[in-house]
Amino acid sequence: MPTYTYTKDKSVIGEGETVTYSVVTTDFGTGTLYWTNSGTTVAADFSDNLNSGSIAITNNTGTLTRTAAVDLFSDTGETLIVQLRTVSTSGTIVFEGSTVIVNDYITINGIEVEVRPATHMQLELIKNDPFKGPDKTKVLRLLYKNYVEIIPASDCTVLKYVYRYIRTPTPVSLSGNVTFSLSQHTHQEIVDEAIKIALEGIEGKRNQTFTPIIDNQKE
Amino acid sequence: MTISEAHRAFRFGLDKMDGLNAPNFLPEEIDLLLNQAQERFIKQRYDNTNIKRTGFEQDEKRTEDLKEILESKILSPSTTISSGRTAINSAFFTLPSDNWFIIWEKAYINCATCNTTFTIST
Repeated sequence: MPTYTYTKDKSVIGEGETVTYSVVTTDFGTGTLYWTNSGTTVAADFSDNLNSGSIAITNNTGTLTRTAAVDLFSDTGETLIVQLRTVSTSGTIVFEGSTVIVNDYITINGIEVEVRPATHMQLELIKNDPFKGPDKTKVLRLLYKNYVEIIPASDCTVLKYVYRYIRTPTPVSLSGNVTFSLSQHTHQEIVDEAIKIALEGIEGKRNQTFTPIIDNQKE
Repeated sequence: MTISEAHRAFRFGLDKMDGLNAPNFLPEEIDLLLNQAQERFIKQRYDNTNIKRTGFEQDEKRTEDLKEILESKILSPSTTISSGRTAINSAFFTLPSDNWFIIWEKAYINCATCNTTFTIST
């Protein structure tokens, strides 16, 4: 008879942090298990906006990660309790582990500093500059394809990087029933822009005048 | 607006603008045009290449336009990227795959002489 269990690498996480569950089964082999959350956290509390799902099990092991979303509301002490299920997310519960506390803060023993964007070309010139280089009030940031490098003063180490960004929109798809990522009030404006692009292609003119079908004064 | 409504609005708008001269776009082609338009819309409202010459958060409308795709992250140093370090004590942070424009940032550092315990509300 198969058995199911998991271990987790953290018991407390702050929002923006990740807990990893290592799932171990016996006599299950390879297949799919399902998980649900019986804690007080809801789907919106997680970065992937999910509160149940599946876990691929290969040779009796699998992994589940849950990253607490960063939100603006105070909801300290929420809980995450992962339940393992067979068959589906409403199937029989075969294991429920201990609670992970999800706090809306993280504690850092360090100092908060300004991040100054730097370019790769100017870095050599400024990294040792007493005014422009990193010190106890600022660090330099270099941007790469999918990561950043934070350069602190020589006697410091970097603990956390906190940032806000504009994300790429989810592509719309009629077959996938995915609509625009932006607010409802922008949708007609985007459709008008699509018509403009289509007309540009049809006419082969980039500077064609286009009057949208609705009042465009809300630009 | 659902995606079906967006497709209908596109076909209706194009017919109105171009009469019967407009080609009969396939659904996949309309998806492509809508995606191009969505990206162009965001870029125009992030910087100021729009009619009002106002960029992100420069007025209430621009704030409302992009608020749905504004995200926030607290990142820990990457343990998987180790080569190509600029300084011996620099740290790499892997950005989310949907990162586009960084709009605000700060860091927390640990120095031998000046530490304070911080609690970051998120």
